[in-house]
Amino acid sequence: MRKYLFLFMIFIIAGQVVLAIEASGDYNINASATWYDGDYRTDFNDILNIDLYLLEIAGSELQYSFTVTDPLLDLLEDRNPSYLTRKLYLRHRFDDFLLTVGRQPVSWSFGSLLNPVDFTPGSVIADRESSGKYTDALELYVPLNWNSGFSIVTSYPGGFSTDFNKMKFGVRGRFGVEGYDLTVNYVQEPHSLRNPFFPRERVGLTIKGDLKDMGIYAAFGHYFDEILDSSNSFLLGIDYSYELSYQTRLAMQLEYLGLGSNRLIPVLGPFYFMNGKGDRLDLLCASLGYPLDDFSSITLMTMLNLDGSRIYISPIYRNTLANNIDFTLSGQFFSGGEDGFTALSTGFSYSF
Amino acid sequence: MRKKLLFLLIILNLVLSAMAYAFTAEEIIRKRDDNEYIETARAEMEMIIKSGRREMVKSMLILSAKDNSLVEFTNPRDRGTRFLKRGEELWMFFPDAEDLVRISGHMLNQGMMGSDFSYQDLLESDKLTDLYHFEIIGEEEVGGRPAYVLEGIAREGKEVAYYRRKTWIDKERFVGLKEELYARSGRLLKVLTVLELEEIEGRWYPVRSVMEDKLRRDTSTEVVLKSIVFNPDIPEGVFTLENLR
Repeated sequence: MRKYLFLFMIFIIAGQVVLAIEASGDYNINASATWYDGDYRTDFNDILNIDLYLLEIAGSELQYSFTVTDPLLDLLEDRNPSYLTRKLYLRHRFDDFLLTVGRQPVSWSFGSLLNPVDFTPGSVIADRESSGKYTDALELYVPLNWNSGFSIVTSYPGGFSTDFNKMKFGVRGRFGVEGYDLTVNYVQEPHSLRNPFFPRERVGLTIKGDLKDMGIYAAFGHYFDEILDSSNSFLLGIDYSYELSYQTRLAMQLEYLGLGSNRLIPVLGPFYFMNGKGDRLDLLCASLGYPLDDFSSITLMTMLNLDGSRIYISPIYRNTLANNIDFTLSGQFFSGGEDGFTALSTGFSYSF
Repeated sequence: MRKKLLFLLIILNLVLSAMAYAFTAEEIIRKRDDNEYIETARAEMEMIIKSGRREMVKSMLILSAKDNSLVEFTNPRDRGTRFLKRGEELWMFFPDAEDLVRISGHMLNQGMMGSDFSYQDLLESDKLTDLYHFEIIGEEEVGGRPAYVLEGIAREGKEVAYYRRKTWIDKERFVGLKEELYARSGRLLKVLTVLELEEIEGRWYPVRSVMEDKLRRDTSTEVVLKSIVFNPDIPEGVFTLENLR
């Protein structure tokens, strides 16, 4: 894949003048303590994210972003740090379409906390993003008008291959209709890398808009397969700002997710532990944000399995300190019958 | 008797000539709009958010054409975050996941990226004369400049961020020097003070202003216009989701 990608990039960039490279990023250092099953465990980690941009030249944009996990800790302990290439792509604007080739994020978020019809199930859930959204892919975007267009994605989760069985396909149409954002998508997972418990194909539908002073949204997913039984997912949500005083507003988001089968649990990503007793899953998820002042805020996120078996609560305090340094203190409390954990974490982030 | 009549005639003449040269509230606001209303512009701006002794700087590039605006943040913390306002719709681009999300309408009144300016304050594109009915309520000096004092009440059926605004307009340059923004209840919400003006391309324009939120103690947001080009050529397709990515 890299060889082909490299050749393609050289082909496109050849003859164009490289004007400048700009770099930005952030360095994070975190400490956490977790209590689980009578055990207590502490973790320290540091993460360096770097984004490199070449200025857009003749309609082409090259971007390279990577993450180094534990650069400082590995240096102190004489280990080799681990790298993750998040983005290494070339994007070119042709007259009628946009082509992106290489490692890129493919995320089909539409403003919900949970997204049962994302390109990669569970890759962006409740503000938590996993590395699953970064994939080696080719994306073609064809605009129809200012807020409507089609995306066609071919990705290679197991590395580049010309074998159709190893390719993942996705198509997404996005349409602006009477102030509503409407999307329709279809995804087919690769045949050879299939999860034996998760249906290989799905179609999804999302809608988001305003109803007076309230934001409303919904999603429907139909998951099917030649072997597994088909099942559906439903999502309904609202968001609203409650005015405590002028410009001090409590931001609220509340949504219900119904999964017709336990097989669809991968759509919950890191929140898979919310899976309950029965074969289907009904989940209520809420987020409450309150700005303490211009520099700090408190967010409370909760998830509740409606069969009463599981509850998850996560308060987060964020404070912007001087010199581009942010401080975060968060907690996670999960209770699920015999299961359960409590985690506290704190961290500093420096943006440059 | 003749002396009295002559005196009255002189006074009447003075009043009539004064009335003939004075501007109506509508004319003053229209002249201000001529200076400050932007048809199309490309600007580089800095927002300095202050609370007590703490401050945070956000820098951005803005492209604006009538009802449409595109904002890209360039400071390290928010770098690559973009907003597209098209009519009443607001879209946001999150650079990490490269997500494009339509922002709900109620968010337009929230402080933009933690500042004392709401999205409406910064991206409101209508002319003031279209949104408010103004009356002259006096004349005062602001920062050594003589100014008309006008009061604007929101026009029936117009969606505005503030029901009433009291505005001080420079009598010679026809540019806003100060503004008090009120809620429908009559409560003072914010005060905008222009700290520096510059003549750019033949029009007087505020290049440094400060907005104070009167409901919060000791907070303000200073806006510094680093550069602005009026009526630049904006290529077709700039205010689209395709370009927001």
